[in-house]
Amino acid sequence: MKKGDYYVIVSVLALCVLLFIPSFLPSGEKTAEVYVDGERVKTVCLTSLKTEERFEAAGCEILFEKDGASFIKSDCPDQLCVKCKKLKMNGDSMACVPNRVVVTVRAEKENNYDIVAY
Amino acid sequence: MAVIAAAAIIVSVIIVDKRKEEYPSDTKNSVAMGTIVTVKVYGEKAAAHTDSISKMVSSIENVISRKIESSPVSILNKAGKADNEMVAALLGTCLSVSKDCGGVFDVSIGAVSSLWDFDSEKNVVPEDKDIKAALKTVDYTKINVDGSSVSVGKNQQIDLGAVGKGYACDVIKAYLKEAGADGAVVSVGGSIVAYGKRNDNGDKWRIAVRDPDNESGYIGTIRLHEGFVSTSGDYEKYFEKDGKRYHHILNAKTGYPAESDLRSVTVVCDSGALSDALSTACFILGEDKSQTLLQKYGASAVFIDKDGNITTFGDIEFEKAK
Repeated sequence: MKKGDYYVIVSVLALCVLLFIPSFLPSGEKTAEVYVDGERVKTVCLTSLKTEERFEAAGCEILFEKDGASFIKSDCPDQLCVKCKKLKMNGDSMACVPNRVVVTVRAEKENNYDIVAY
Repeated sequence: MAVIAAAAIIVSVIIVDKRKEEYPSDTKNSVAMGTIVTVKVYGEKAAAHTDSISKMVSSIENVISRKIESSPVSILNKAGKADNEMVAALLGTCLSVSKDCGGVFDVSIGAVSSLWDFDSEKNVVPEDKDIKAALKTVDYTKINVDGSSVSVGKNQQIDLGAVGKGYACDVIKAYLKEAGADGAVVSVGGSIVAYGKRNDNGDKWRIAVRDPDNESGYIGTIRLHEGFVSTSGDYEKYFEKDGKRYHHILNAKTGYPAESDLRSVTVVCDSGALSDALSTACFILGEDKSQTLLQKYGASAVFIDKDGNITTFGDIEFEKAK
């Protein structure tokens, strides 16, 4: 083989490694998802939020911020969802049971488990 | 050489794309049984399975909830008898655990749990005389199960709240098996079923156990290939009055929240209804007295005591969080 061939082989190997690496690395993104009656109606990438964002669904108002998501208003009688702390960590979820709304946070980098028993 | 290089690049891209598609998954969150149902299904037709499972939990609620007037359990509470296979099967499991734990766990506790009414957020300690009167109706030995027919004693009120979520996990597992799903992990209000393969490497499922003092934290991870996981703790539903914490796990012998040496107990076994019933019974019994009960059912557990000490019992793979 000529010297140039080695350069080609090394370049190809380097490219292959670069192609593989991203599939093993966590993305580091934190997202919030809103479900109504089991259907996902909104996904927000919290990590890339420049300013806070609000979203209304089924009688609830949800606030998305860079560090988490929270219920800020609801027309439900118990208001338990509004009293709940901001959802920040991977897998944190809160439901407005009367309105059948669920908000959940996902953070790929923090994903050391599949699900939480509580 | 250029041809070889091009081929290598194409093969790499195909492999990477294939890896991404290899084990597709779908996740769905919904509300049923007054709680959050999280369904993660892996493999082909994952989305169809998540849909079916979410609907399934609601249909189970329609059978076992005493708050739904037309449910067989409501009928049982009103008429004293009912005919339903699901209710009969669930009561059968509960009766067995009640007998083995000396009656501290007893699903005929409905009249007492109505007095406390933790779901209402009223946060009122019932009058002692009312608790004592309601306690007279609590006696699992008066529940009869004959095939799909069930009957209860006079004025008895059945409350399947402690075991309903775990039972839903049993039904979900049966569905996943029947449907030929590849793998799934489902939480029905924190009661877990782990089924099938987590990935192509044969890795075990990782079930985090919640930190009783931090609703976003976890104290460690249970690893298992398949099984059911249930936790009972004093942090899930409670209120504080005059400096005392009143949590929702009632001792069926006293009618009051269990005076346990534990903050939580997490049970792993091969049935969802059983793991729910055992976790409740073990929380009430405390760590030492739980061991005979767990041994009898071939179950294992993670205990967290009042001082935050974590211990395990039985054949369990548990790793503390760093």
